[in-house]
Amino acid sequence: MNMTSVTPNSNGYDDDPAAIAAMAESMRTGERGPAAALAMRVVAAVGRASGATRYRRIVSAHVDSCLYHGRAGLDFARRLVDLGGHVSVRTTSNVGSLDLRHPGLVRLEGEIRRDAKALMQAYCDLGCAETFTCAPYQITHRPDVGAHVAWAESNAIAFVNSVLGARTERYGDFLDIAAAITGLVPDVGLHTDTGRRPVMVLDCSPVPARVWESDIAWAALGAVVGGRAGVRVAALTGLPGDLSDGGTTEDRLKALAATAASAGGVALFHVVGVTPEAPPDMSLGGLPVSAVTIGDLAAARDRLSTATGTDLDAVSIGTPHFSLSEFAALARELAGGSAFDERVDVYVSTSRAVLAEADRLGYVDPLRRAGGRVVTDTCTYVTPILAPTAHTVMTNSGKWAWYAPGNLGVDVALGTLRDCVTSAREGRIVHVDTSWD
Amino acid sequence: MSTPLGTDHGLTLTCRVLHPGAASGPLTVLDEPVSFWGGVSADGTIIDARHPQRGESVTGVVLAMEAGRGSSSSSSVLAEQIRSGAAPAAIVLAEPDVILVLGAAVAAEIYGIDMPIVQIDPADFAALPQRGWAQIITGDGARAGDDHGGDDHVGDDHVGDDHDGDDHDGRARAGILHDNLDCTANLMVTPR
Repeated sequence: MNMTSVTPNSNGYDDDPAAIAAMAESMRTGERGPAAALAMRVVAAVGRASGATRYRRIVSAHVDSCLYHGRAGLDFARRLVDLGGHVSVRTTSNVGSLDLRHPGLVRLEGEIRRDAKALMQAYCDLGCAETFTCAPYQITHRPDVGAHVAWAESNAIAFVNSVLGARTERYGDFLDIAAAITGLVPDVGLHTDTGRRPVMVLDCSPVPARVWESDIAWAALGAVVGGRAGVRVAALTGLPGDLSDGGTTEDRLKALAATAASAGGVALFHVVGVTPEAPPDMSLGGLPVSAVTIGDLAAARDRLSTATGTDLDAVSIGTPHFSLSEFAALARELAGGSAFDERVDVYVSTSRAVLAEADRLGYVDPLRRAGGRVVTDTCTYVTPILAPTAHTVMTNSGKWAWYAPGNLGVDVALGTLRDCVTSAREGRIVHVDTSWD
Repeated sequence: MSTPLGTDHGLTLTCRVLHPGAASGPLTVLDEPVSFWGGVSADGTIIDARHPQRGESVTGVVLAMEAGRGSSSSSSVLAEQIRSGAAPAAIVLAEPDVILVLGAAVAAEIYGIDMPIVQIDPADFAALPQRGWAQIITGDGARAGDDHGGDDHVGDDHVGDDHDGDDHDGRARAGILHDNLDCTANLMVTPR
């Protein structure tokens, strides 16, 4: 049964509890069709385990289940399709295991390739938009402050909570689509006012202002926040930023959020004076305070690098997916310079939507002329794209640096965007950024 | 929330059911939690390089670990292991973990296989023998009574309440239960 008749109300986050309970009951009893009933059982299983006593109605969902992990995931999606399932709220799709726009890039073959593609198709059949991006908050999908949503993918969760001020718990496989179909989530954790309050303060004011001009300082800060906060909510003080500056602050907070989520399970942080739930006069009295120094950042940066020599096989940037403002910065770095060394493969991962806009603005041609390649719909650390002979890879992404050594068996060198471009041109690892010295 | 009963045959622990089912198998207590995504292979072997029990198999054992760990993709990995037969016979936790519950719930829906997940008191968890035989029994004999101690309910909103009192199969109810802590089972452990 098609559920599109259920639309979110204008302020979906303070819906009437009795109406929500009736909605859940009608799905439980099968009145809204077998797919909604199945999805409701999945949401309820999580509600029971987490001790919830009521649901919240959501205005949007972001689904991560389209990344292939084996047959069970495909069987579940196909069951929902066969039962006539359809999302009831605006739903975007996370990366899959294939780049459907550039089919030659991913080296998956046979049954796995077929099933990975079928999985992405099944989620489209359920009504998910074909965004296939881990950064749905760029261009396409931005819920209002205070709205309840059900987002999966750890960086997207941390970003939508922290930077956009919408409310999601840490959702993942199966629950994401079940919430999208039912439009409901258990009212626990980060959906509640109490759950969103900071329990600790990280004071970043000892770090010299010039360091924040370096993109990897934000990745390093993410590793520090992840290590100190774990899964707790931290308030960060002493940081520069302005969310209406055209994307620079967003890109920095994206790097911070993604690395903090990888290194510690952070799903929400507040940057006092910058993010929507943290006004400059935010009350932080009584909370434990710890200082973040340039030494802490340098140590975190060094821990994110495993490469020891200067040999370089590839550069991968765009984890989470490259934004429009990052494409603009890359085009500026590439302007008038030489092509990349032919021994170094350069990949930039992004979404279809950002790629189309960046192409329209002429930001992508300089990359292609230099010999770089664009990856969409997926990412270089979750599926085989890099050459099997690649041993050492440079990135400016703290998240990529965190996961790639384990996932791909490569050594990683963390460097700024300028370091990445310079190294790709010279065919060896070089660090030209001096803002930390 | 539970009372260990010392008997000649070992321990009987009352536990909270996070996913229903009956199971038995050798008990394996993990020294620290493992992430099923990236930490356990498709054939059920612990592959996390930093895990002290790397190389051990979780297949068919009653796997006790204090809490869940790691990626939310663990739901998919666990569901796939339940399908293929590589999963544990049951999982015993000291803290609830929704990621693992999702894997079990979906495997039950799609394949009709119930791999029970239960939660025991942290003190009981700490007292588990390192090795032994474990059995999880659900049903009438396992009801602990109306223990609402320590439960933190927000208001009186009963969402889809279904107080029929007899049905403790979690899959039969879609509503979130007001009394969700009194759905219990017994975990019997015989050390060896």
